[in-house]
Amino acid sequence: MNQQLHLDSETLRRLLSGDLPAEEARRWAEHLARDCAECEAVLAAEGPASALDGEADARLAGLAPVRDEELGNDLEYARIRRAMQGAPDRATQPRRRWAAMAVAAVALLGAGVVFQVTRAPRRDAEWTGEKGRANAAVPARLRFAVAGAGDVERGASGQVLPADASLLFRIEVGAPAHVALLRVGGGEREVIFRGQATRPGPVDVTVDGRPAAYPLHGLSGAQRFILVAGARPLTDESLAQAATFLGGQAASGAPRPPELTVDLVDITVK
Amino acid sequence: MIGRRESAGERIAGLVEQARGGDPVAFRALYDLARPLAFRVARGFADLDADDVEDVVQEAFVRGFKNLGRLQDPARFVPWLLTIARNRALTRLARRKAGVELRDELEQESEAYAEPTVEADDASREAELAVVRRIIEELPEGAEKETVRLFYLEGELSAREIAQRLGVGKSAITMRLERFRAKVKRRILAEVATLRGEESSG
Repeated sequence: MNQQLHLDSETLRRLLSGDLPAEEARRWAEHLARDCAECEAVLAAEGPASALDGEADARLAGLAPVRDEELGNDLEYARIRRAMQGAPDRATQPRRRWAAMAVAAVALLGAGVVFQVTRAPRRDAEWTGEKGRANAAVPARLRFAVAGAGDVERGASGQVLPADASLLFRIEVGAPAHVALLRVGGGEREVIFRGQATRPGPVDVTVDGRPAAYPLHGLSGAQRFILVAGARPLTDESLAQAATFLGGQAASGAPRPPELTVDLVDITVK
Repeated sequence: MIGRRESAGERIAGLVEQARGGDPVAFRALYDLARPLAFRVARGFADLDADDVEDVVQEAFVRGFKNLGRLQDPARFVPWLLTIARNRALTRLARRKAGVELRDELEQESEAYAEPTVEADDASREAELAVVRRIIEELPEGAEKETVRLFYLEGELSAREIAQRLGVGKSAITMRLERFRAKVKRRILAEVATLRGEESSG
């Protein structure tokens, strides 16, 4: 190796696999110990991540202290276990699931639907994802898709949406739970539905067994949808408390509802 | 073994062996151990939103746990899982941005590609972190150093959030982080090359 040579993909492969002669490896060790823009460019442009990336990530990820939001949680772990057991799950087939919902959703757009909660096909009878717990809040998460113009796309909190779009909600719970979905926006507060999931897993908001769409027609500006879940029946007081806590007034010091899980989605209607 | 403190690598290897035997407690312990790190890898991609990040983390564990039998060195579970997480993120972005060819290329992941790298006990792990911190310190003052400091040292913001805070495009943040990662990779590769030279001559 002369001074002008720099890493290429073949040298990298041979170095990692131990195929380089010792003398050459030592020269590379010397070269790579110093800054080298050319070699770093090659390393930055690698294709699929290799074990070298994994080693670098392991070191880099260990620099900052772990924060609470980074810790594992029962709900996510339950999803991983379900997916490992081979059943179709959002982890492996998110697009197909939403696409299937799109067909039914179109017919419901704009309709004054009565919501009810039905369970998506059950995937895991025994596993609840729960560690030993009695009065702890039920793990729960709210996601949604946006339906419009015959198409459905997964939604993301913070989106700006047209008033002719509709939302399809999916709730996921880690244990049997009473659930409710609230909307807060434009000075209004309403309970969109209440229901009960008798088993852990995903729950779609449906009417007559078909996905139901929540039309945004008539709404304007910032809208917050709040999922509330709890092991016990949800009272009007607890829902009002949740709406106050997450309805833009959390900073005012409103207490967090005890033993309830809340999750939210923010959108802006234009 | 009496009186000898079990290293992190030995503990992880033990958990992997137990998980391979179907022990659910070991699976959960591995998840709890590696989840924050996988989360950090995924949120380093500024083009992924919060839901994407969660999906990447979840998919990485599903694939990792399903393929535990292919992991050659159980003590290296964490870097192996992070490799999978990075590939899941790349695959997701490729599906979004490009065509089938790139996706297929990225699907050829390296879960089983467990080349011997630098073995580290707990003390040398600390030394490794010190080296990475020094690489950061040695960066010239400027946008790249600020980005690296915010993402890797403070660790509170995702790459996407850093882009918003600094008022630059998401791709600029991703590029800065990738450039820095390449420096760290070069340093690790130098260690590997040193070992190769010693192995071959010894």
